[in-house]
Amino acid sequence: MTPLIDLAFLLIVFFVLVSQVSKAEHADLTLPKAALESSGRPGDAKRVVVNVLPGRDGAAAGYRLGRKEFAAGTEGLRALVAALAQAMKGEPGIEVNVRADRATAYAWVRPAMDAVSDALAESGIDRTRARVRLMVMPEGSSGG
Amino acid sequence: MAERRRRRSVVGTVLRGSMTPMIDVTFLLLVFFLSTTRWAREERVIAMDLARREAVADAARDQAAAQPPPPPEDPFVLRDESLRLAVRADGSVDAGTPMNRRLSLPDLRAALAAECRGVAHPTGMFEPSFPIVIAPTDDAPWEVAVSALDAATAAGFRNVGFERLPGRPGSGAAR
Repeated sequence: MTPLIDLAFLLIVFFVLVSQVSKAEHADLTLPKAALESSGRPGDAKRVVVNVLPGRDGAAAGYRLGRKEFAAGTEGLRALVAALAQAMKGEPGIEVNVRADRATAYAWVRPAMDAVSDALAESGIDRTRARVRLMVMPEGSSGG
Repeated sequence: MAERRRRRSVVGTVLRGSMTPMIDVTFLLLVFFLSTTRWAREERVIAMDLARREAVADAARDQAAAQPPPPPEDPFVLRDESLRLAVRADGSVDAGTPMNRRLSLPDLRAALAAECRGVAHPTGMFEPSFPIVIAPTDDAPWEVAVSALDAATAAGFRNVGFERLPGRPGSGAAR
């Protein structure tokens, strides 16, 4: 009986930790839909997630990188660029996932993508193009 | 001796009896966490390269400085190096030169697929490697912008991206 309970608690601790990590990375928002053939499965590579936190009337309430939140103004974006550049310096091949709500206006999502290319320029990594991964839901699924 | 053995067995049954609900609860929790973490794995990604913004700005400046006077109009020369898709908030899409059509999002994929040269459409206007630039307006919802990107990718094009606006690092503040 004892090893069984040990195992069960181990599993519980594992899933609690996993759900906390995924909650921190995945802000509560509804992703846009995309066809299956144009999107791929998220890989196992090391990654950071930039969340565009949804605000009112299509505006963004801020941006979140991992657990850190940044305001949606110039100052916040500059801090986001710095944080992203630091992550890129530490891990040059790191993937950047961008998650935004489907109702958020493009004017508020674009700064998040601009931040990624600015961060690549700031990190001094010798690569001409930054690559982002836009998070979507496959068509026909119930939504996030 | 006989008394001690009986007491031991009593302790054993008491222990075993209280174990079952605990295991029930643990498995209930397990099922709960399994079902709540599953949705994150359904997410999919569209990988996309971003142009370097400084490079874009520099290229534009160089081009403006060192541009020869425009040659006389030649209707047979295809001057545009990319197809610009202006996407509006209401879901209408203006395909720029050389396509010059106004489309709606539901028709976009079929219209682009018809122009993507390949086995299915040998008379298509563009090679699959032809750059497609998606230019959503500021007020276009992210869903509309991604739908246009998705339609171009699903139509068979392999060089699709959002239009880049040149700017200084950190100056990308919205509005």
